Amino acid sequence: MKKRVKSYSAKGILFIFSLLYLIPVWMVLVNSIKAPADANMMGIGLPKDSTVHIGNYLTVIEQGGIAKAFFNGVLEATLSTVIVIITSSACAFVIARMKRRLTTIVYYAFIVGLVVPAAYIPTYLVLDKLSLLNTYAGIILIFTTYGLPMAVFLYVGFVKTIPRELDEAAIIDGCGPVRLFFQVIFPLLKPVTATQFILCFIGAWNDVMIPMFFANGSKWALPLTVYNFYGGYTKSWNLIFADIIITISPLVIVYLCCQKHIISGMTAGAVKG
Amino acid sequence: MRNTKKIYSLWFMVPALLLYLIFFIIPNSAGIGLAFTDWNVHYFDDFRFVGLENFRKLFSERVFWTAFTNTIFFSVVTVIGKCILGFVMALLVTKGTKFNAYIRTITFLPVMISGIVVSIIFISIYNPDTGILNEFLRNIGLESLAKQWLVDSKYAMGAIAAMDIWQWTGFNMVIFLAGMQSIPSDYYEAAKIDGASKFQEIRYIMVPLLVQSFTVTFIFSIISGFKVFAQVYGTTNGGPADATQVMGTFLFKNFSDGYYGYSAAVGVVFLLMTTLVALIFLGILRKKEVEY
Repeated sequence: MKKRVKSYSAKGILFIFSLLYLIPVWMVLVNSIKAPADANMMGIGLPKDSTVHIGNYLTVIEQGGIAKAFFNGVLEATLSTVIVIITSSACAFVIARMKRRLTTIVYYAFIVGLVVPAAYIPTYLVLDKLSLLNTYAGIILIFTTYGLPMAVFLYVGFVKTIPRELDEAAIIDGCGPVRLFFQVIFPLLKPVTATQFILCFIGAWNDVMIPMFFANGSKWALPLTVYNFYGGYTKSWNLIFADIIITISPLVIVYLCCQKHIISGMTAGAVKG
Repeated sequence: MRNTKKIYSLWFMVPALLLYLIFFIIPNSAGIGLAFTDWNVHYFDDFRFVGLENFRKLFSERVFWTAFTNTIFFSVVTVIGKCILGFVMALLVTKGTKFNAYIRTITFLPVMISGIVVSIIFISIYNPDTGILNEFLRNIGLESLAKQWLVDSKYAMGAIAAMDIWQWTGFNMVIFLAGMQSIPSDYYEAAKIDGASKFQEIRYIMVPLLVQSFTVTFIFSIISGFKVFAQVYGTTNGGPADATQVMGTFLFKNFSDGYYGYSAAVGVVFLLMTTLVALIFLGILRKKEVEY
């Protein structure tokens, strides 16, 4: 009896806690379909005029440059993620296999990058000298670089669990170093690659600091489109909320579909650290 | 071992290392040099070495110290909040029931959302007149607690910290859950036989064995706390009157005003404080780790 009361009270606490998350989501959703004046009241009730103003979404898509921003986000996040995966896994493979002073130094250089914040100002200068300011290439290479430390760290840990004998067997069977890596080792790294894909992609998709420092609006992705409607003296919260729903839905949908993989991917980096 | 050279090639390191060198190591090293120059937007290609001038100016600027203390305040409050709440939540949802799975799904959801978007949502929630927080407080008769959350400099920093805790508690909860699930159940059974209470089980078995999870959440939260940018930029952008400036936004402000050398000096101080704190915490917590 006592136990049951306890379990109910735990459930009660959890339920209230979950409301702290559900109510804001509901507030954004319901206000995104209200008329402007109604949405500016930010209430959590249904629309006062009992109509679903789906037009808010059309306005946002038309005026907010959503298609371009979506394209930017997909391009920047995908390419940087792919480059991180290929370069870091290759690098980590050699670090894990060759015990040299050089490889150890390189490994620690990447580990330092896990903690040290990026120096944005000089990076701006470097990009300027390479004519990469305000280009997709520039943004992608910066995202890639900032993703490397964690990726190298995770890959090195995982490569160490793959027996060396495998490499030797493959070489005896006539593999060259390149084929050994891409056809034998890389497929075995799948779990970390999946983790890495999730970590990098979500990180790049949601980041605002890099595009803000190193590019102008034409290269920005979805999260910053909200500023097309926020700011200035007249705020139309119906459009802001509709923009937020559009911005968050791609990732939220993916999250709800393959939650298990995403949660383990996002936290694997932390747990193994 | 003879064949090492043939099997592995150091060339594999080159692409990653090259990128890291050009876009991370060189800028970080150059940043230290630039911090001693007067490089700014007016003399873009012609800057001079000015010695410690930037740092002297920095340490005598009131806004810098506001940013400094705010960054520390933010880190400390969010670290404590996220870790304690994450731990308690993990304790409550350890059993794999449907209801618990639903709670996990919901609380992890904000991790998927960009900090800037969360900020805009909270601008609405914290709105003094129409926001749902004050509306709720007024409805339950606690009108006196309804504050000008992001407008009043007394509450703004705390309100931003609360928002960050809201966003990241689920993340820490999952880390603690993973840690709790890796503790062998024999330990609890042994404790039960010895007559330990639930509280004693948590205090003497779970917590010591979870030191690694605590280390991870602490380090992650403290580093992300020091690097905070989007949350502050999105909500107050350092205002009102620079009262909520943190290192990240202070750096960005000087950067967008065109004071690049000065901004680089902020970056150097920022780098030193982040690295120092991370090392201290790592040192303290690694010592307490238990093998099992």
